[in-house]
Amino acid sequence: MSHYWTSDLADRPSFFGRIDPRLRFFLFLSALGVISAAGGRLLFGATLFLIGVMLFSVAASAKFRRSVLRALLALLPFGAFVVFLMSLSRETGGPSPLLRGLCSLILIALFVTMMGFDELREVLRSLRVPSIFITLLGFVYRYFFLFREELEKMDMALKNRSFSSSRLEGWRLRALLIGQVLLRSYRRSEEVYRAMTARGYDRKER
Amino acid sequence: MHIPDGFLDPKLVALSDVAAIGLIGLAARKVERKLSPERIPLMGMLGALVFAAQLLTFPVVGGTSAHLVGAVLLAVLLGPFSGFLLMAAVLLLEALLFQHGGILAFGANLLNMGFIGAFGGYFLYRAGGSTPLSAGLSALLTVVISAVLCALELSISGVVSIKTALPAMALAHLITGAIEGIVTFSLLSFLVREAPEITGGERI
Repeated sequence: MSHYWTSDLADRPSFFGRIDPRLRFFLFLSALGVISAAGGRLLFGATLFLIGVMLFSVAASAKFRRSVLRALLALLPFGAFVVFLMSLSRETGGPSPLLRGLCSLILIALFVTMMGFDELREVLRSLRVPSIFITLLGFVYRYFFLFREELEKMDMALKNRSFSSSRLEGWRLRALLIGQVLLRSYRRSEEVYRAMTARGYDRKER
Repeated sequence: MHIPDGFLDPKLVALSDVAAIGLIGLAARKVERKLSPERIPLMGMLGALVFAAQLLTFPVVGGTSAHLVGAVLLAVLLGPFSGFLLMAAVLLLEALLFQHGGILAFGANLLNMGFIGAFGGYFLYRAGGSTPLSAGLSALLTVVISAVLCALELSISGVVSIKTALPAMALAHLITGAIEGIVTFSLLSFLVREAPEITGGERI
């Protein structure tokens, strides 16, 4: 099971690790605010930051390199569509939004390496984010990897066994596959609730 | 359709973030007060399943593919407030783990996909007679409406012109919407037949 939450720098004794998670979170949001509204010289600075991170990633761990690459690729579908729309119209915002988008995605990838998931939940708790939302965030994160693995295995089995199904039938079969995992998750949720109450769960996120 | 940071006008970002935070607070209060505690793990698991199912691609034409959004599905199974809250959790994790969409643009993305999908989709589902077919049709419509909203936000921000963005986004998302509709319809028909206890459960 591979985890996407890298938290490389947060796990190691480092300068970033010593900064209070709340301060790290606010610094991240402030930097993101500056980058996502940047223009002119500031945008040039943001581009230098982007190049710097990419150069650093070459020397950093493979995990970090992968997360930087994923962040760059994440802009591809939306960016390509926006470029296509820009090519159709005369009045457009130019390349600045794409550059700002790239820089901010890299910044998010960096943030994830500097902040563990539990630390983030702690920060959200201190910001008085509703407890139910933090609980759900934890559930979704925890079980996502499990369901992804189950769905991938079932999808592979489906591809191996359905030889000449039409596209429409393929979509329907995939929907049924999700339905099967949904049935399992329904049954599993009852067991999880029993386990939670046995450990003293009282609707509060601790 | 996940808008990254840097594309939208800062004022629009601030406005959508405030609206999204307010709606999350409202939905959280409603769910916390009314939902039975044994439904909470189910909510979390369905959210995780929809998140994982979003990675499953549905081939369209010429190497292109679409994926499930799942907001209407969640709203039909759990109710609009629960569905909206789960979509907020899914979109936030998606932005952090896969960089699909921005963090500051989270509000706009949540309003486009979560609010329209969960509240709009649930309303259309009920108006259409609360059947798997009405859920499928509302899934199709909400995907197109979300795309139209996304095009409007981009044009208000001066990134693209409204004349080209609106028809292009709506047309491109008609195909995605059709897949969303077929998947939602097939899935709910299957659940109504095989596990009516899931589709007939508590909805907040």
